[in-house]
Amino acid sequence: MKDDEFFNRIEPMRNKLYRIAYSYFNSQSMAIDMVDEAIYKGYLKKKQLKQKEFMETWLVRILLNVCNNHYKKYSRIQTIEELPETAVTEDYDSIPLKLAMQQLPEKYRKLVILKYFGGYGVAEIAEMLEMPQGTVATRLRKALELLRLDLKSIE
Amino acid sequence: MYNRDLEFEEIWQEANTMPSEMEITAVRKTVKKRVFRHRIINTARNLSIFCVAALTVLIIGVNTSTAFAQTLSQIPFFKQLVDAVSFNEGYQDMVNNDALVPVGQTRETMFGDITLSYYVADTMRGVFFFEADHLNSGVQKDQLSIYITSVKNLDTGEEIECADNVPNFEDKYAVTDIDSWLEIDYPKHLELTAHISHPEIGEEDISYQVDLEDPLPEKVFEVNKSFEVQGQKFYIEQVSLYPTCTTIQYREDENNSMDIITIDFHLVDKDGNERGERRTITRFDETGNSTSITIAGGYFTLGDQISLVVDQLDLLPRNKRMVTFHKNTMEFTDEEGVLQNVYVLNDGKSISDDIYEKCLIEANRWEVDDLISDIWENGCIPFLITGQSEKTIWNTFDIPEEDMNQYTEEDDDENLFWGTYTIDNLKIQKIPRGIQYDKDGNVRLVREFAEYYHQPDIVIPIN
Repeated sequence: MKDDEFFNRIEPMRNKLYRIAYSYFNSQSMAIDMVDEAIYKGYLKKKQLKQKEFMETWLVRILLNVCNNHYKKYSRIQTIEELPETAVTEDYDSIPLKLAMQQLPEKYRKLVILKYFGGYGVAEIAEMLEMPQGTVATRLRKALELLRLDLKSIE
Repeated sequence: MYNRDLEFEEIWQEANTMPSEMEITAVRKTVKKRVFRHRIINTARNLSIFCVAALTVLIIGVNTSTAFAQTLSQIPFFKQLVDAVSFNEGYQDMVNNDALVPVGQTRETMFGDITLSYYVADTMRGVFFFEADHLNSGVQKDQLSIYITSVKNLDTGEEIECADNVPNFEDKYAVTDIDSWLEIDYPKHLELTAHISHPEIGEEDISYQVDLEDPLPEKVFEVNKSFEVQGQKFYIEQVSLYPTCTTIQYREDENNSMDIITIDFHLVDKDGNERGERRTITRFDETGNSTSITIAGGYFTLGDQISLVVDQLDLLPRNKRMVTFHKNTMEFTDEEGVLQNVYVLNDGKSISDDIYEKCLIEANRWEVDDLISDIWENGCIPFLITGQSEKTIWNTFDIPEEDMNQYTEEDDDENLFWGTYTIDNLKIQKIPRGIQYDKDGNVRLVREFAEYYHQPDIVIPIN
């Protein structure tokens, strides 16, 4: 894939990539760095992408991994700790939503981010993360319960 | 009590407000800068290991290698590096030696006047100098970037796509040079299309039609000298100096048992002073062998006594072997049979735990330099080099699921780096997690590193 084509395909994805990255860190500078890093890695590896129609999925995967890798370090610096999986709704009630999302276990957090900031459907998320759709749906429901977010009002 | 829906709305609005740094031209520029930085760091990494290994330097006169023999922390900040690139010593040579041919064509754009001021062109590349001294109010020169998207020979209709570099106007000139220039016949009349962008104002394409003068003649030196590294013989056949670059034509001896992965040169004058820039472009013939390399600068400043210095030579044994892991039998085999003592680790550094997998296969003993580890963590280099230690790390690199099932020998031929290598004394410890197998229960692992890395610093007089 030539450079022009690569960046032309990136152009319509930028907003989505930025939203996904931003929702991880709630920081503009971090989000910019993450998206830049993901696109850079995608550029280096663009030869590996055999089916261009899957470029968005491929790039979002890269972005998720970049965000996750940096998040571990970021959360240590910011002293953000994930709550255990056994945590209940009341454990999240007393904190702002931004922090609550960051304290969600990663397996819930990435689904919330992909669904509500990436705009992907359950089936798309399932395919992207290679999980059963039922698992995605169940975990999303659980995440929204923990965060006390009304599913209908934000879809 | 928090109003979650309101909070969510706020987060959404913040996340949906994309900053100017996410404009596609800014993103493109960032990527291109990082790619260039990656090449520079690669060179610096090699040279820092050179220092650690304390190899003997054979260069005559001033040891110009020490200019690069710094640790990673001493490399200039990237911005300075980009400034150096945008108006480098090679270009300065052209300016100093009145090699610039005036054009003086101005186009009115949404940003102000953009002038194609000069060019230097030969049969290898075209270098174009743009100025933007008369801009509209509120437009800052350093926010503009310009690159040539196409060059068309108006006599023949031949056209090449460009956009290899994205300079900006931080210096007096924004200089854009075209590496693929040599793919077209030297144009007498050409049309340049340039793309200019500003992160807030927008983008615009402009065209210039230029009549080129006959190119300055190249200086060709028939060298026909050979050198040897690790028992491998190489021939320097010809060195040609052009105003815009220098090409080195070389050949590998047919009896060599190793292939060149990387070879870097630079030129020095009679006092051993390095001239020009070390930006290199390597060209390959139809068999995949590298045959020539292009470096920047030297035409105007080298004088009469010129030497070629072989900086770096990475070699990969020609006897490459694909290794297959058989899930059913838990064995590694190559074309010679079952490998004994295969040791497989999952280092957990995959792009996605669900999709890709990176495996480290450890053979013998290996001491990985901390510097290399740091660079590897940042994804700057595609392979781990060995240096002086006995240990060998075989990194599979990222193999997407669909590639794993579709791997063919043709894929291997596309990429010299992805060749396989002889593995001795491997030891299996556990099954790789998440590995994808083909219908026969096999997974193919490819190797990506240069086993033999040398900095011979061999000096070859060319005239």
